[in-house]
Amino acid sequence: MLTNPMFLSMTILNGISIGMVIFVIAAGLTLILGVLRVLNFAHGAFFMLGGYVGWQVAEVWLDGVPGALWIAAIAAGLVLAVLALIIERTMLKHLYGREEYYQLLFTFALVLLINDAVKVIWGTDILTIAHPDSLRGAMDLGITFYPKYRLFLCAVGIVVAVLLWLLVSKTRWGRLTRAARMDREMLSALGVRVSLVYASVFVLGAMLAGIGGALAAADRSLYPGMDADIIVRTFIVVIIGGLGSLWGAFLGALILGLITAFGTVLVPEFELVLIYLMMIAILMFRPWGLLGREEAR
Amino acid sequence: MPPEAAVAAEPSAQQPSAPILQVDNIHTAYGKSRILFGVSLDVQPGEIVALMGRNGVGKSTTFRSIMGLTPPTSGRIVFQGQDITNAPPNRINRMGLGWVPEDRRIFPELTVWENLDVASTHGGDKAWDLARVTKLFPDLEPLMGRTGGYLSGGQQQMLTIARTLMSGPQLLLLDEPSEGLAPLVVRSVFDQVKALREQGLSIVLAEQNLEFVLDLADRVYILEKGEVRFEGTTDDVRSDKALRKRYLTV
Repeated sequence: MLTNPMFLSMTILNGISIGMVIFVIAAGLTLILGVLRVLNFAHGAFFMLGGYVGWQVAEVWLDGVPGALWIAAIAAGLVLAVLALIIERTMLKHLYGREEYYQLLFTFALVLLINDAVKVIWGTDILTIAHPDSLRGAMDLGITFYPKYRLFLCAVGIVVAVLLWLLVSKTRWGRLTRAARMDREMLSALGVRVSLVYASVFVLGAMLAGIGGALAAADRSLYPGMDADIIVRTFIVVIIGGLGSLWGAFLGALILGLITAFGTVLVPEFELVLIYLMMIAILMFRPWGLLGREEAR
Repeated sequence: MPPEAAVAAEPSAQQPSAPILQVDNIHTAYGKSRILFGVSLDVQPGEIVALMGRNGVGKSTTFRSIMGLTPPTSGRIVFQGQDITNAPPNRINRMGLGWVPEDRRIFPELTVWENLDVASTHGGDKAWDLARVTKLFPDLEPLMGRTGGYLSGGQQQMLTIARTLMSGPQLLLLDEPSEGLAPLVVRSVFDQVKALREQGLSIVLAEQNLEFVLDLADRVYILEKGEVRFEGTTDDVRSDKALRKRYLTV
C-alpha cells in the first residue's frame, strides 16, 4: 500500500494534521505543567468545550454567515480564557503548594463537571462544524490532492509553535514565566506578583485549547466524552517531548500524529498499542523525554 | 564616607531619625521546628548592621521573616513606618526591601541580562536601572549574554546583588556574600558592599567572616540559638576577645 506515492504522501499529511491539532492542546498543557507544576487533567475537556462553544457560534448563532468559523474560534478562545481565569483565581490557586493528588482530584472534578455541562447544554448527539467556504475542497499538491482544511490545521500548529516560542523566549512575560518555573520564591522576593504570572499561563493554555477545539471541530466530530481520548494522547505527547518543553511537545505531537496515521492504515486494531510502544521505547532511552531536561524528575 | 555613619551615638547635629527597619521580638518556625525566639533589631538609614553568629543560629531565617517568605508567628516588623509583618514578599520588595539570598538563587537558565530584567519591577526606587547597576558592576557588562548557570561563584555573587538592586531597594538584606568565595574575590565583594553604602543604601549583613564585618559594619548583633545575645558597636566586638570566642569562632 505504502509503495503508492500518492497514498504515502496522504498518510504523512494526515499524520501531520493530526499531530498539529494535538500540539495546540499539548503546548498549553506542557506550559502549565512546566510553570505551575499542575497536571491539568481538564485540558482535554477545555478542548472539547471549545469545540462545543465553536459549534454554538458557527452553526447556531452565525449559521450561514461567511467566516463564521473564525469568529467561533475566537469566541471559543475567549470563553475558555474567562472560564480558566475564574477557575484559577477562585480555586486552583489555593492548590499550588499542596500535594499533587489535590490538583489531580480537582482537575478530574473539572473533567466530570464539563462533560455533564456539555451533555445538559448540547445533548449527546454527534455534532460537526462545516468547513468555511474558503477552505472547502482539496488542493492539488502535485503528488496528491489533499483537503485544504487539513492543510490549514497544519499551518495553525506551526504558527502557534512559532508564536509561543517567540512569546516565551523574547518577551518579558516569557522571561517571567521561565524565572517562575525555576524559582518562584526568589522571583516574588524581587517584587514580581508570581500568582499573576501563574494565572496568565493557565489562561493562555486554556485559550489555546479552546481555539484548537473549535478549529478541530470542523475536521472531526464532537461528542461528550471525546476529551478522554484527547487527554491521553496529549499526555503522551507531553511526556515523550519532555515536561515543560515546547519544541518537545511539537516533536512528540508529530511523532504521535504519524504513528496514528500509519497505524490506522496498516494495523487498525493496534493503533493505540503502537503509540504506547513508541512511548515506552522513547522513555527507555530518554526517561526525561526527547527535549526535556535531565533533572526534571 | 558621609559623617553620619559613624556617629549614631552622638546626639548633636543629627535629627533624631526614625529607624528604616525595626524588627520587634519576632518568633519564627518552620512547621513545628522553631528557629527564632524573640529577635529584635533596628537599622538606621544609611547604616550597615551586621548579623553574626555561627551556622544555624537563625540569621537566614531572620531575613526570610523580614522578607515575608517565612512570616513570623508573633512579633512585628516595621519598615519605613509601615507594618509589613504579614505582607507578601513581592509587596515588601516593592516597598524598598531587597533580599540577596545566601545561595544566590540565580535563575540558571536565564542569561545575565534576563536575570536582571525580571527584577526590574519598577516598584521601589526607580533610579536603579540597568545603566546604574552595570556602572556599579562593570564586570557584568561583557557577561550579559551568558547563561546564569555558567557563571563562576564570584560572578554569581555579583549578579545576585545586581539583580536585587534592579528591584530598587532602599535597604538590602545581604546573606553571607563572602561564603564559598576565594579570598581575592571576597575582597572585591567587600568593595562592592562599600560602594553600595556610598549609593545611600542601608544594609543588614549576615556574615561569618569577622574581618569583613569589622571593616564594614557600624553595629553588630550576635545571634545564638535564635536569640540576640549581643548588641553593640563594631569596636566592642573588636576589643572583646572573650565575646568573639564565645559566639563566633569555631
